[in-house]
Amino acid sequence: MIEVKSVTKKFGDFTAVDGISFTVENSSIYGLIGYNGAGKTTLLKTASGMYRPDSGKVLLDGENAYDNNEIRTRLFYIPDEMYFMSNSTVEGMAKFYNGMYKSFDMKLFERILSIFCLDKKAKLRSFSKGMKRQAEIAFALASRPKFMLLDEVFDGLDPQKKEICKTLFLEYMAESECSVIISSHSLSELANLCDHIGLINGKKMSLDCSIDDIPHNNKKYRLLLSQPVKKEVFENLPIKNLEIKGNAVFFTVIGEENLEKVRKTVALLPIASMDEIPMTLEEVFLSEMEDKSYDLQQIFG
Amino acid sequence: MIYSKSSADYAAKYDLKRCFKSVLFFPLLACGLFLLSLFSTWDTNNLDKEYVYKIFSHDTYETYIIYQYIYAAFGALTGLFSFRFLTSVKMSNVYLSMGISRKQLVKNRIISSAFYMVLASIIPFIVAIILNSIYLTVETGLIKASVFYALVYFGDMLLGFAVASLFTVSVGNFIESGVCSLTALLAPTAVIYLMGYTISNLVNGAALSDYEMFYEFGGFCRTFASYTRRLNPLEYLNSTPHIGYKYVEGEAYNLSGFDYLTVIVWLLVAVGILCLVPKLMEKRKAEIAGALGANKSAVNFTVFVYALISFMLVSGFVTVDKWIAVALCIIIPAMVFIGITALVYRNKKEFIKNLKGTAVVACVMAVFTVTLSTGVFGYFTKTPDPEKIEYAGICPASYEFIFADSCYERTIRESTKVYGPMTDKDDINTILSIHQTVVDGLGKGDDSVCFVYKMKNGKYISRFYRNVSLEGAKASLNVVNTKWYDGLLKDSFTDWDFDYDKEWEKIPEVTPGTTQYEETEIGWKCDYIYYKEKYNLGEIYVYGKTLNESVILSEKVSSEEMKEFRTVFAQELFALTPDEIFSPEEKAMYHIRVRLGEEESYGGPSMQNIPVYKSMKKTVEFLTRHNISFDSLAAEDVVEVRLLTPKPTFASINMRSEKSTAISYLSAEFMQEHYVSRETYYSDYGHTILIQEIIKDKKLIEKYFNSYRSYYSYSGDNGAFVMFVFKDGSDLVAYIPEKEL
Repeated sequence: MIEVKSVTKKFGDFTAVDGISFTVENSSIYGLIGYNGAGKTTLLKTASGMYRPDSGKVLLDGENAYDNNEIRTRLFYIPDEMYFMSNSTVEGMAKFYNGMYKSFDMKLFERILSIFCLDKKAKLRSFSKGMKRQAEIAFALASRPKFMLLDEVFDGLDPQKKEICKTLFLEYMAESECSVIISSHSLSELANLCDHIGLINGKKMSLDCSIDDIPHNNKKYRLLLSQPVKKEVFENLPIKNLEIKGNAVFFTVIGEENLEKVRKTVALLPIASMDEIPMTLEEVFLSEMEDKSYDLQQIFG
Repeated sequence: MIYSKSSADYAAKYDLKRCFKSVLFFPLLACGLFLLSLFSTWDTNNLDKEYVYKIFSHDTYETYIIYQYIYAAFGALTGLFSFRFLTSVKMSNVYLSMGISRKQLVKNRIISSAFYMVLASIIPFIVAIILNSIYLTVETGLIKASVFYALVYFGDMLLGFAVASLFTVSVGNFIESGVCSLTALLAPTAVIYLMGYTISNLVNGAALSDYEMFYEFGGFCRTFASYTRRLNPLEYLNSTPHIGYKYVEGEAYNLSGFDYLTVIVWLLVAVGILCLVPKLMEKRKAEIAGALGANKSAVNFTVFVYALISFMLVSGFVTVDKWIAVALCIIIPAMVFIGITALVYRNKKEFIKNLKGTAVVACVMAVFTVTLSTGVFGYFTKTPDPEKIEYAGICPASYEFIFADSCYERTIRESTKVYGPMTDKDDINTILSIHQTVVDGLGKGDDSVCFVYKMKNGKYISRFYRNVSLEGAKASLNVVNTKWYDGLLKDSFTDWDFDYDKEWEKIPEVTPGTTQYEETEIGWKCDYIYYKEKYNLGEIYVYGKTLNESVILSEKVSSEEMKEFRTVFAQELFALTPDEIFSPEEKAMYHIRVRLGEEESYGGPSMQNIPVYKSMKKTVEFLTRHNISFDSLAAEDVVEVRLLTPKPTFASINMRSEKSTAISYLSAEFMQEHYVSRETYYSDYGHTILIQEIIKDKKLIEKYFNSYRSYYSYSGDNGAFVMFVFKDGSDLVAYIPEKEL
């Protein structure tokens, strides 16, 4: 289990991550979503024990991750920027990880390589970005870690390889009870892989929920009122994207708690008809990020 | 799940194994280079059997000192590359997220590097011992020397490694860590050597320059570098005896306890720095990988060193007004500091923050500048207590004709003789009085005078003053009023004083390489060697006014008369006042040329021309009595007079040879826009004679010809050098005092 508890990380005066908390259970894949520069990589590096958080902590199976080599023997971090020893072959790097990870399974590694159709004698420098990613994923899975931190791991992979990787991660997780955090700015990559999603917005966690709960806990409302109501009625409600057109009112509600509050208020309104539509992950993402949206029509105008 | 330690140990062991592979290169290279150098000194076909043993040949002194730098450099490279992974984002992502603690990463790199560094330091000496066992002999001295040098090189390599490791785990950027390490390692050398330069420029009186004042005799007046060499981890072998060889004849050099202590101290410093590395590694923020200027302390330290170096360089160019010089010494280092830090941070906010550091640099430089330019608050201008002085010596502003035949040595800026040792109380007081006059007029002239005192407690005090006033320069010539000078004339012109010789015989023979040797070798020891040659006057040549013709006196007079002449001449020479000697009122009637000692012994002049003036009545009478007179060249023989320089600021002239060669030694440098260059006889001085005006007027020619001085020394006189060109094409250079122009 990975527990991220109120983690704040600053670089000088700049706050990269501000009080983020979430938990990744065993046999769980946690998707970390956010715009570029949201703090996903910082959070992963903090979780990997590389960065010391300014406040809060990251616990791996109850033990502090920072500079804890014993716990990290079961952790594999695939960074956004991959590193391979100069002039090394796939086999050479595998030997490196085999030396560093006692649990490294060379046979498993070779099997994964064959799935990816990678030549173990090939020099890594001759690989494309996607092929290097595949090799990294092979090293990670063959190391049989208990915790996997994957930063933009699908970046550069073709759709077929993405699907293979997802299947491998799911299979491995099921077999090993591994806790995985996978970061991405692409929703589609995570939608059918993760069981939990965390959305980082403005350096803070704005959403942390199970994928299954997203349609239940996040709704779009379409209200048709029998008589007009003032806009002020909705002002104190935890709603987003409010739009009032005559007697028709549109808004979205994110989160189970917010939903309860809204339902109580809405019940008091003169409703002619009401639609409560479950939101998709993408809609939730866009709704959460509305503060950062730009009016692109104004850019050149 | 339980995480056993074995997984962490497994990773740690593998990392250590990898380290043993990756850190091998630079120690191997150092060892290889050393072995190459070693083999190059072992030509077994022409092996000098005079050696009992050798590691380094006796003539490879500098090479084995340079190896301190080489080993430190390879140690530093080992450190830089061992911890390079920390300065790369990609590499630190991997290393710092795996199952090895930061401490273990450091430990593995230190263990593996230290192992190879030990081998790199030992192997060449094992090879040397094997070579000695085959071709020469193996004895305790060889083993001792091998252990000593192996320790030295290991210490230097470890220090280089420790410094580079310290900076690499402290800063973010690889190049930055290289620059910081290089700066830290070379800072002692740069600061020590440049400080000598700075002291000689800013501290008027300190005889501590960037090179030895009396270099040829082992450093009587030691340089700042020689005092502080042991503070330099890469140069302390320079202050220890060369024990790397032994001849069949004579003992090998021995090391003192202090020599061993120096090695141990620097080794401990290296270990101490290495102990800091794991702690810094634990504190290191992984996010600084690759970033420039992430560690402000490292940046400030490095930039401060460059600011200090700029201060020391600026101090050498301060020929302008004193206050402008002081301002430059403060402002330029501060600008260097703010300039480099601005380049590193490239951030307005940081620039403003660094103004505080710049103010600190300016304050430190102000303290340095004020301390040094006041002669360390008067320390270097204070005259010693006469009661505590054993003997004194002086290098006067002008030395021509003073006839001191003590050791000829090289001083900082010019050829100067040390006059002394003067042990008589009155003489010491005379020197102290000159010293005070010189100090009182500092900064008001362009001359140099130096003083040397040996104190009763065995210490030496040496002072070298620049910018000595005219009064100070003239006062320094009062050395001729000392009993020591009288004795010198007496010794030179009468029979050899065997008591004096016996006094010098008392100097014990000492073992080279010992402190005692250092102290006695320097200074007056050379006198002993010189006097021991038992020079005497030899022949006396008498020349006329122009040195055109001469007679050998012994061919004209009997040996008894020769003795009489010597006595008479010495007495009259002895009676001359400094003014009569250095700025004579009249033209010389004769010139006595004496041969001193062996030909060109110790670089000193073997011939000396001494003018004889009308006031030296007995000498003139002797020569007249023996019909020694010359049909000297007359003014009619001169076709033109070339006025060489109208206003010399510093000049002394001593006519040294026949007119046909027209060589005169001019110790002045002339700066004129239009000149005709003409090399002097002493080409190593590289002087040129400058022609200001050519005079063909017969009356002026006659006037000048009848009034020139063949010898005229410093007086502040605004006279002129003249070159008389004779009908036969030969020429003669002399001096016309201001009042005669």
